[in-house]
Amino acid sequence: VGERLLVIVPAYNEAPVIASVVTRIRQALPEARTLVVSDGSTDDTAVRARQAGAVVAELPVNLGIGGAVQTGYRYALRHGFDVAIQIDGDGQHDPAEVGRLLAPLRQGRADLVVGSRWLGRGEYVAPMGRRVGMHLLAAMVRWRTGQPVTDTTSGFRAAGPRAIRLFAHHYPADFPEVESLVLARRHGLRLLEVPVAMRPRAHGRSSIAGLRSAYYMARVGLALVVDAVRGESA
Amino acid sequence: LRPFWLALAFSCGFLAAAFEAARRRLLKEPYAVLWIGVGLAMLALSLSLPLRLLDRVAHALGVIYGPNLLFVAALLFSFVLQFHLTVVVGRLAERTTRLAQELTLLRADRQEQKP
Repeated sequence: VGERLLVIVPAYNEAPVIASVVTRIRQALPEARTLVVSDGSTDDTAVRARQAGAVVAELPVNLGIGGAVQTGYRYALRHGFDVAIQIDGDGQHDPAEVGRLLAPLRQGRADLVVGSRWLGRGEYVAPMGRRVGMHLLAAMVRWRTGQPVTDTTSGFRAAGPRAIRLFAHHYPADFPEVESLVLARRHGLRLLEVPVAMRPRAHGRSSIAGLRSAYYMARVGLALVVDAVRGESA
Repeated sequence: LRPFWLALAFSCGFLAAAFEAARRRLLKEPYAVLWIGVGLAMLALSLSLPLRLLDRVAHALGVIYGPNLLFVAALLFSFVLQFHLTVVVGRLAERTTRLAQELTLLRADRQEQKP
């Protein structure tokens, strides 16, 4: 097709797994360039990613997931990539599933494709509290986008040219997954969800647990309300 | 009369500190003017103590206890200033983010060119 693929891998202190993540991406997508964005990591993440064959962008300070991912989108825009794929650096997304994300982009049916755990593939089961939170987020996103999205917090995505351009200029800083969906929709981008299988993360644990989930919900909820008030102007 | 001298001493000290900070460029432009202005206002207020100016203004505004007017004014001033500062901090954070990203992309490009 001649399209140029970039895989953006945000990583913060993922040295134990980053090499295998990069290797699996390169095996599954030999034609793609893999960009690991090390978000101010203090371990060997950058070195190991480079050894595994990735291009590494090393942020001098920790910007948080939003700032790291946006670095990737800015790279994609600057170097003229047609598609930017987001894959988490902790190994929970399977690069072999990327084809499912790419299909709707190639068919011109969507500008942003999100891989969802909840559409039937894989056996991912979330604990009760987390399920409640996810339903709440899904309801909020539906309210703001007028479109059902099942896995609003999924960081497994593929972005076409319009989404790359948007996210290179505007991307939420702190808890970007949910807000970026609303942002994309408000700018007239077409969203689509496809079923993917996700594995349990290879190491570490979710950055969002316990009391932090309540904080997460409050912040994301507020961000969506602020976004709603902002309306079409931005 | 002791409160008069205390207030005067504090006002002069504050004004001197503000001037010195501005002179050494510890205080940047709009804020240097702001704090010197605050210092001058405090000095004026201190000097007017024997005239009971604060009490008269307070009574004119229907405030029974003079110092309350001062507290309210000071509190409002602090609120507005802090609001302004959080806006400024947000803008700075955004710029820092953009700079860090640009620096990072430049370094990544250079790394690629000399493997």
